[in-house]
Amino acid sequence: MKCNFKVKLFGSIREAAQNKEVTLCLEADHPTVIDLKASIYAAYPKIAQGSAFLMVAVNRKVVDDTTKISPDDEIALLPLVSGG
Amino acid sequence: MIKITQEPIDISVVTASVADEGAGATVLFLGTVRDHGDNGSVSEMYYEAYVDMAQEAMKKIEQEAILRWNLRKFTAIHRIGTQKVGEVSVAIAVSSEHRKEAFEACKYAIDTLKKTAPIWKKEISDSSARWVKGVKLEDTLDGHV
Repeated sequence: MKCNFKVKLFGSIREAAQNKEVTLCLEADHPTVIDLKASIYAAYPKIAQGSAFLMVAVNRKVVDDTTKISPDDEIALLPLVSGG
Repeated sequence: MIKITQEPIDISVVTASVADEGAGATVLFLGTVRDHGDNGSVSEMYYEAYVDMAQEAMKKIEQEAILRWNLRKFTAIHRIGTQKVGEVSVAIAVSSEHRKEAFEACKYAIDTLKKTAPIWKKEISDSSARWVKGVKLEDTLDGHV
């Protein structure tokens, strides 16, 4: 198990977790975004409530659930955007 | 020029940044904090950005707009932090030889920014605060008009 996956949080998600960044442990040998989501939703049930609207960015690109991730990646959880 | 800043946006600086002797048209768009939202009155708006990713998205918009409409100059500035009603939260200025290109490019830029830049806002009133319901983030070039 690797316990050094850092995830940046923004907006309503940041408030729900009361943290700008969280560190997660992932058990899979080659974890993907889906593993990351499962881990973060288990640790922060409030984030799971709005999970249908969350996007994940890896190295500042929006990715899908099957994308592999490593602790070296810049990972962020993004709620619906409303800039402007 | 692309910028995300905590500081108030100086419109004269934005306009001057796209000045060009070959330009016959300059279009300036300002997004301002409105005194009301879906849930009633608003006194302040709080803006938050994933700054590095938002700047990359804005840079792509700049490149695409310059290429597609043959612009002379392009500037987009988004302010973050807490802003009062009437303050400018976003400014986009473009200059081109003729007005058609400038109008179209400026519209493309703000429409695309709203869909592709990871920025969030929270409406604050005397009695409550709530995040504005937004849209799913898209990749920049999906925003073709």
